[in-house]
Amino acid sequence: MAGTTIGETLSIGAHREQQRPLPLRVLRSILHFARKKPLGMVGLFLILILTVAAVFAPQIATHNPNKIDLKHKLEGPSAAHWLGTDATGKDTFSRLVYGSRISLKVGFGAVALSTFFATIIGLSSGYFGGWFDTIVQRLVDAWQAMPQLIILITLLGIVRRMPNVDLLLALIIGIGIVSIAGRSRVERSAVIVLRGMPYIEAARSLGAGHVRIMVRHILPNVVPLILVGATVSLGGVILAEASLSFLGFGPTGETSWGQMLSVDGREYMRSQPGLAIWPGLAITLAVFGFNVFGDALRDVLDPRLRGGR
Amino acid sequence: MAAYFTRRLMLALITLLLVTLIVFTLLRVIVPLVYADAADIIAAEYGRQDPALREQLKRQYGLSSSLPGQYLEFVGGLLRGDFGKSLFNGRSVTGEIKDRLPVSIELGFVGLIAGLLMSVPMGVIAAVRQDRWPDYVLRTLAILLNAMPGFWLAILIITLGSVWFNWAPPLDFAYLHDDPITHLKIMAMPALLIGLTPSAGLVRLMRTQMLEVMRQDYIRTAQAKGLTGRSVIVRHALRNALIPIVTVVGLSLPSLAAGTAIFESIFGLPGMGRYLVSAVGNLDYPVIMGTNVIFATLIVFSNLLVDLSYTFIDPRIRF
Repeated sequence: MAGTTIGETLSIGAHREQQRPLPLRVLRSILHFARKKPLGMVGLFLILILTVAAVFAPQIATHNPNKIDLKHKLEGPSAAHWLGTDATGKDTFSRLVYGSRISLKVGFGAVALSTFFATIIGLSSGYFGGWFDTIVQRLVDAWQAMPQLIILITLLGIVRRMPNVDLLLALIIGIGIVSIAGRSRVERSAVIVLRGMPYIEAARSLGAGHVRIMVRHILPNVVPLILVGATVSLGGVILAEASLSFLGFGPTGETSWGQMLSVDGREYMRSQPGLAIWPGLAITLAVFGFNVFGDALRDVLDPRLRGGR
Repeated sequence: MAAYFTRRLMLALITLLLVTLIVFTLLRVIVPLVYADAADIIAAEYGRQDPALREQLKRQYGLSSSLPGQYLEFVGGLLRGDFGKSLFNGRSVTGEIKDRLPVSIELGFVGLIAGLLMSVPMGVIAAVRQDRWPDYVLRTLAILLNAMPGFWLAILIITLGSVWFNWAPPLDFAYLHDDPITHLKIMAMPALLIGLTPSAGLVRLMRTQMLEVMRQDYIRTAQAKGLTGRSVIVRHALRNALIPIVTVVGLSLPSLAAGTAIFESIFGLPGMGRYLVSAVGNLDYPVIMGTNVIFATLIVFSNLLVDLSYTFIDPRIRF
């Protein structure tokens, strides 16, 4: 079990498939996933669209997202502007396409950061236990009880007044740090179960050190859990980014969905309701995609839920 | 019970200490080091680079003593209920908070109650009608709601309400004691929207909890002794299924605080969240510190209440 990969965990008849070539095995496990979890597949599809939009934004967008064109402001959908234009004549469709970049950058950046630190905290706290665990968990309690978005508003609001600060980076680090506490909880509880397993005792009696046991023997078994946690938290991170951008604390100069909905543009939404609809729909679909894919992944990968409802 | 409560109280105090330390370090140590302290900002407002004025302002805002001394002074002020004065309009932050806090608390509290009143029955219905259409409809709704940003829903309601029904939220705020009816008209929509944010997760949790409880032996016993379906669900199942809901309510308090910032900004309500958002734009240090501390205090003590409420919901739980 110690070296299980996701591909094997995904397909039930893994041992019989060892001989088949790897691409075929991956394809089979994806098909199996699609048959068992159609909603999860919808989520995966939405994530793919989002990724393609972000990567190929310059090719997909029909206009420069920041080009001001006052002759064509507040237009409805047309052949030239598929989803219309905003109060300064910027093309809504192109802005949506480019907006996916911020969502994904912040999403993956913040989740990578929180995954890294949550894994260190969860692993060590669960493995060592005792007074170390108690202190760490009380700190995690305190961290979770803080008004996190309020602190982020404070942090980002101050940071944006300073010169030469990368606001995008600040956003990623801020949201990332905030989501460490909750995620380390889940990993800790899994580690506590594994800690008592006989194979850990065997490793210890063979002379393996703490670090070796944690990294080589426990970590591989919590990887599925970490992946699920990362996917599920991506939706929440994108939502947090949208809320902060909406309040005016996002990166300046770049298009983001939250900022497209912000207060400045509200008076124009009455005459052009599309301005109020499309960015919110984009946020919703992105978050929905990560949420349902994460849920499906959890059902497949989390051993506690396997075979259940 | 007393020992448990003391421990929780200690934890609450530690959390508050951490918040004050974070906010203090941010505003009095990091920002002045890399950017400017309060005295610089005010001096810049006057458009002067006068060192004497700077010194005078530093003394006036208590910035000339050592950092630990400043921190103690800051905490001492908090304990006396003195949050200092706004750097911009010179108004007492404490007085401002006194006016604004009731608005935010009302918004959060009514929102939470509305959210529970919506999500608990929805979760129960979904569980009782498992794998039939009410279940599918409610689950789909919950998943969609979970992905939808609350502020988008608010904007849609305002925009489409004005386009289709010529409806708009009232512009001028009225306090409850001045004009109760206008007040309720203004507060109803934002409170409802704040309640929607946690309710998506609550519906799903309520459903799984009910499904789990309904499979227990004591439910079969209750049915076997001839109790009606409603009585079994409400008196035997619901109470037991509610316990994890209470936990989630406690965990959702921080997002409720964030919700006040968002919805107060959208609907133009004079609450704490909007106070913070505008203060942050001006780097109004005393206001930023005060609002952060108040938000943290609110959350920490509501969490204490949540913990205590376990004993009332489930008599088996004794601390």
